[in-house]
This record gives sequence, C-alpha cells and structure tokens, in this order.
Amino acid sequence: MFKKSTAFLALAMTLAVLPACSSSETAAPESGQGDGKSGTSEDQVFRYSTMVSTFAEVPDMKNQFWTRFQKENHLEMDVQWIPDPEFQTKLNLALASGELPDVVSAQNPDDINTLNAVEKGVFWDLDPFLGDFSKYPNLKKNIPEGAWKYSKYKGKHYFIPRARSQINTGYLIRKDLLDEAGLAVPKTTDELYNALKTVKAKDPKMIGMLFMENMQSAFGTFKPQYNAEGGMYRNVLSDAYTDMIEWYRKLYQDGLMSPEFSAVKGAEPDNFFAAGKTVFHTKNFWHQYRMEQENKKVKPNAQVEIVPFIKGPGGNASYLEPGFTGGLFIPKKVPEDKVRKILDVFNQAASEENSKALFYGYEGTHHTVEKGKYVMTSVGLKEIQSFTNDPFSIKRNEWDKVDSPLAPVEVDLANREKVKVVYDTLTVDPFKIIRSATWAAEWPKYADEFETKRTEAIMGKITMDQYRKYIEGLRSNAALKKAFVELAQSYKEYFGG
Amino acid sequence: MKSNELAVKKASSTVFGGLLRRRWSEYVKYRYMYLLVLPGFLFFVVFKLVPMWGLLIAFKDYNPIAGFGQSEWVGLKYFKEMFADEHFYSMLRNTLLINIFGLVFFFPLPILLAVMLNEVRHEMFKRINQSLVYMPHFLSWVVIASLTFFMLSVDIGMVNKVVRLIGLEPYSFLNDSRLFWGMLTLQGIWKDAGWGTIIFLAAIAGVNPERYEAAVVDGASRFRQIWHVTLPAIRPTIVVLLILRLGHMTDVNFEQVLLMMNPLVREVADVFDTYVYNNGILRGMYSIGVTVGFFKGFVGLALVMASNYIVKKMGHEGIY
Repeated sequence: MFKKSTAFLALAMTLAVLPACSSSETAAPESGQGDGKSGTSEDQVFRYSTMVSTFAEVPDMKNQFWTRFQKENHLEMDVQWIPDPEFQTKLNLALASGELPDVVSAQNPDDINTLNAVEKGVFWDLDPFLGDFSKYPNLKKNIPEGAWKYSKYKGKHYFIPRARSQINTGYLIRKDLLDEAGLAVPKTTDELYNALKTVKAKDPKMIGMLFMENMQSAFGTFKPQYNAEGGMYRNVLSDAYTDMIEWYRKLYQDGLMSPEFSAVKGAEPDNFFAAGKTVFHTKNFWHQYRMEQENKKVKPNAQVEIVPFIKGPGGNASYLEPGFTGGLFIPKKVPEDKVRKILDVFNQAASEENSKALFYGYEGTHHTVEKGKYVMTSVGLKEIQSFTNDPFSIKRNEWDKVDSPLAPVEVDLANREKVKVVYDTLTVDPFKIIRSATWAAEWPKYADEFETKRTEAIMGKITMDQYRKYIEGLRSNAALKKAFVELAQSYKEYFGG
Repeated sequence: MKSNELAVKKASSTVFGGLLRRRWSEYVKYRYMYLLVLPGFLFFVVFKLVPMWGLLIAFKDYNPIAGFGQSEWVGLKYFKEMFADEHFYSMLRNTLLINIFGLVFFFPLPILLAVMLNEVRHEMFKRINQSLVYMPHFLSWVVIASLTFFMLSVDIGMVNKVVRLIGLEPYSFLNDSRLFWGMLTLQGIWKDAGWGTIIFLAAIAGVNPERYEAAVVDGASRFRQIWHVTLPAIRPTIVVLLILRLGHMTDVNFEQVLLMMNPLVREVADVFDTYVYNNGILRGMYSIGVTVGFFKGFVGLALVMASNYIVKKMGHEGIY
C-alpha cells in the first residue's frame, strides 16, 4: 500500500509540475456570439474526448451501436471507459496533472476532490453558455426541472445533470406470508412492525428485515432540525434519526432482525430476500418481478408485493430521486468554441430519437418491440447497458426503475399504477443535495464510530441514553458545528426557508 | 616542492584513471551480464526509487490542483498530528498484532507443508496435492470473504447449520471482535499457505541427494533425515523470507480487512491501510495518507535492518 500510494502520488506530482496551471486562461464567455458554429457542414465530424465510468466490461467503441451512433451524429468520440471503482482515482490523477479530457462524466459530482477542483476554477460555469436554453431545447425539455435545480453548486451549473427518473427505490414484501398470517400489506411503521412480528411468530426461521437507512424519512429526518446557532443538523444527528434507531432497537429485541445485520453487506441483503430469508426488503421497484420469480424457486406460491411507501410518525419513506445521477463537466482548458459545440452534441444526444437509441439501441439490431415492450436481442444485451448513455444526459422514461425487463407488460403497467402514488407522498432527500465542505472533510473522522454506536444501540449493547449522549457529543463538536451552519445555508439555497 | 606536488597529482590521476579504465573494461567485458540486469535495475529506479520523491508530500500541505511545487511546506505538522491522534495507537496495535498472528501461525505452515509434500513418495498424489493447495491463491479476496460469510453467518452459514443440528445455539462468529484476528489469519492460511510452499519446495529440490544417502547409511530415520538434512538445507531460504516478511510488519492486506470489517469488529480491524484509504482517498488529504505511509515504510525498514543484523550476528547469511 505504501509503495503503491507513493508511486501514485509521485506520478501525479511529476505530471502536475509540467503543465503548471493551464486553467483560468479565458474569461467568461459572451453567450449568443458563437457565430462560427452555426455554419458547420453536416458531414463534418466533430471530435472530442470524454471519461466515463463503466460498471461492466469496457464497451467496444467499434461495436455496432457506437459505430452507428457516431456516424449518425457526425461524432468521433474518444471515450476513456474507466471501471467505476477506479474512476475517482483516475479523475483525481487527471485533475492533478491537468490532463483532463474535454468532458468529464462524473458518477459522483459531489466528491470532495471534484468540488475542490470546481472551487479552484478547473471547470467552466456552464450557465453563460446555456443562457435561456433557446439553443438547447432538448436539454431544457428532457432533463427534469428538479435536476437543473438541484445540480447547482453555489448557484451555478458546473455540470449538466445526467437525467434520471425520480421514482427509484421502494420496498418489497412477501405477500404470501402476510396472507397466511391474515394481514394486509402494511402502510405504516407500526403496521410493518406488527406484520413482521406476526410472520416471525408463525415461522421463527424468517428474518423480518435488515437495517435499511432509507426508513429514516418516515421518522422525519427530511424536516430540518436546527441548533441554537441556526445550524442545521445533518440527518444522522437529528432527533428523527435517533427515533428510527429506537424503532429498529425494538425490532431487534423482538428478534425481527438478523443478529448479523451489520455484517450482511454488498449484494447479500438482496440474496437474503431472493432466497426467502427476509420478509421485507428495499430495492428498485422493478425488482419486484425478479424477486417473486426467485422466491418461487424456494416456495412455489411465494408472492412479492410492492410497498410504494411507508408512513411513519414524522413523514413517509423512502424518497424521490432528485432527477439526476452524476454530471457532465467541461474543463476550462476547452476553448469556448468547443464548449458550445460540445453542448450542441449534448443537446443532440438528448433528442427523442437519440435518447431511445442510447437506452435501447437501434430497432432490429439491438431490440425488437413486442406488445409495447422493448425486447433486447442478444446483440442488444451485449452492447447496450445501463451505463451506455452515461457520456450524455438523455431523456429518461419516468418508469425506468419500475418496468422490469423480465416481466410481461401487464405486470409493468400494474406496478406503475401501484407506484404512481409516490409522486404525491414522497419528497426528494434534501441530504442528497445540500453540501458542506466542512462536513465532507470532517465527518469521515466520525463516520466509523457513528456506525458502530448505531449498531450497538440497535443491538442493545448500549442504552438509548448512551447513544443520545454520544449524538449530543457530536452535535457540540466545534468542527461539525461549522458544518451545520454551512448545511443550513445550503438548505436555504436549494429549498428556501 | 612544486614538482613533488605535481608528481603526486599525476600519480593520483593515473591511479584514478587506471581504476576507471579497468572498471570500464570490465563493464565492456561483462556487457551482456549488465544488459541482463538492466531491465530489473530500471524497474527499481523508475518504480521504486523515483517515486520516493513523493514522500516529500508528507512535509507539505499537498493540494493536487495547486500541484506539488505550489503546495506549502508544513514541516512535521502531519507527523505531530499523526502521533497525537489516539486512533493511531489502536491502529498500530491492530496492525502489529494481525502481523504477529501471521508470523506465528502462518509463516511456519508453508515450511511444514513443503516438507510434507516432499516426503510424499507417490508422484501422482504429490502433484495433485500440490495443485490443490496452490489453487486458493488464485481466488480474489472478495470470493474468500463471501465463502467465509457462507460458512460462518448466523443466518445462512454452514457451520451454524451444523451447530443447530446438534441442538446448540447458533453463534455469531462474524460479530465477535475476539475472533477477528484469528479469522483473518485462518483466511490467509487457507489462501496462501499452499502458494508459499513453492519457494521451499524449490529449495528442497536443490538438496544434494548424496546427503540423504549418507544419512541413510548412518541409520537416520525419515524424521532424522528431515531434521538433519532437509531443514538445515532450506534454512537460508527461511531466514531470507523471514527478514523480508518482517519488512512487511506494518502492511496488512487492505482488501481482506475492508471486506471482513463490520461496525462491531471495527475496533480491532482498523489498520493503517484503512486509515490511509479513509483519509487519503475519501477525504482527499493526501499529506496525511503519505505521512502514515512514510511511517509504515520507516518501521518496515528498521525491522528489516534490525533482523538482518541479528541474523548475521547469529552466523547466518542475511539479505545483504
């Protein structure tokens, strides 16, 4: 580790010395004056480079899809596909060396290193280029308003938000077990507790549920809680969050959780539910169909039902997505002219037709349409993946995370009906949007200990009083107090009041 | 006086010149040997020596965007911070203890296994076994962590299923911080003990068969042969590997620890490498990361030098 990290840093450093500072050489652009661009001939190929995360094999840019896409859009893209776990490291290295591509498609635009770079003026403020969007109608129309609103940083757009549907995560429950116990699908935290208790009493082998942090909003963590100085507590330090811990503690005491809930990590919670070990689970809605099929392998009459939201004493769980994931940054070293051209490309990629192509591929080659459902061909399955559109921000189907590629269309339509209600009952998680540099820098120091205390409190290894005292200690921590003030400011910036 | 001085100068220059010339002619003479060494030499210069410059980051408030040159010098600030951090001492304890566990329980096993494999007379059986014990080495830690979970989990673990079958209460092995170091060591043994035999088997293969024949003539049993011929023959290998192992006393397999960690065992699982990851990567505080790295390297170097010295004092050949 030591040798590796020094080697990495030394490399970063040697690279950093050479191009010293190449940023901030051009002043803010005059929007609307880009005359040269409108006359570009149709067949002229536009070349640019970009770096994007990949979550599977590195896509072959010479495959059928990318060949056709680039040809149709007169593009020659030089894409560095980087395995997502290494993406930030690669980006940090590129930031350090100044060797950034023309576009950085970052999975996590809030990464502390990326924010630092934004602060240092490494990336263009895109607002002057975008102007009133008259030149970029597709970006305006096809990226949700919320995405534009929540992707601002200090009031400016440093990246184009990569649009996503707002409905994503919810809850799944084993309806067959509820039926056997004569229970209805739970709607509230109390009903959920009773349901799990009853099912567990009938079948002691079942685990009620594992720890799901997204239950927090049912206890009211999305409502800001302020301290005496007007600072706003981060969700984990709020009273509401502690209420959630107390609720879990009761579940644990009654044997409704696994004693190893904190050691069940990664894909294991999914496997537990799929194998019929747990009664209640949280997942993207579209998994309902798959999970039911999986459960049927263990118990032929198993049924998995969607629970769109859970009402609690302080609100509803879980949350709506802000309408974007990740964003497209353009470094300052890209000349203004080229920035405009790149934005044209983004606008073009966000068109109906291109959006469809980037999501489902081309009809005939990558998919066929059967009964209103896209059926991927073997080429399509190979070439089109969930991240194929990540170099751009495309128009997304609002039911992306509800429709299952495996399910018949009737199931999809029924699920859409069930899920629809969340537009009225759920809200965006403010803590996924508000930022504080101090919090980002300080919290990692305490995050591990917090997680341990939280686990111990749920397991009854410490009393709730001890846990509260611990939280109180964090609340009065000087550095975190500064973060609370920043959080309050940030909250005001995005949500007003 | 003057001529005298001149003469001395001349003499010295000719002596020096002669030395240089002789050196040069030797370089020329053995040029193919040097050519052979060159790639390895370059490797160490480029990937090990040059990056040492990076250690300077420990003395700077390194900001990757400002670059190395622009970052401010801060002297020993980060070292002071590191030693003042109470966390540091628990990490030091965990790191050293995990390694001592490894040294005591893991290190002798490949030797034992190599000797055992060497004693197997049935050639086919030996080869099959050799391949079998190498295999886990090629599994990634992610796989091994999952396997451990499948074995030990309360809810789905094989071990706990057996425990239930014989009518006992299942036990949460993964939550018990007392078992954590032992579990890491066992995983390490399962994964790499077989792989570690390769070097010892090679050393054993190099033993002159006449020695065994002489031992047999002297009436030595199999155990006596192992004790008096095999083990002494591979002693230099053992010593060298031991010294090198000591150089890694502050390294812990980061991936393994990170995968096996959960909030209840964190207290015994936090090691330097997870700290570097948390601070250097997650918090973007490169300087702290490098400072800890510096410290680790320094301890490793000190241990290698000390053990090498002791080993030499004991009459063995060290690594330099």
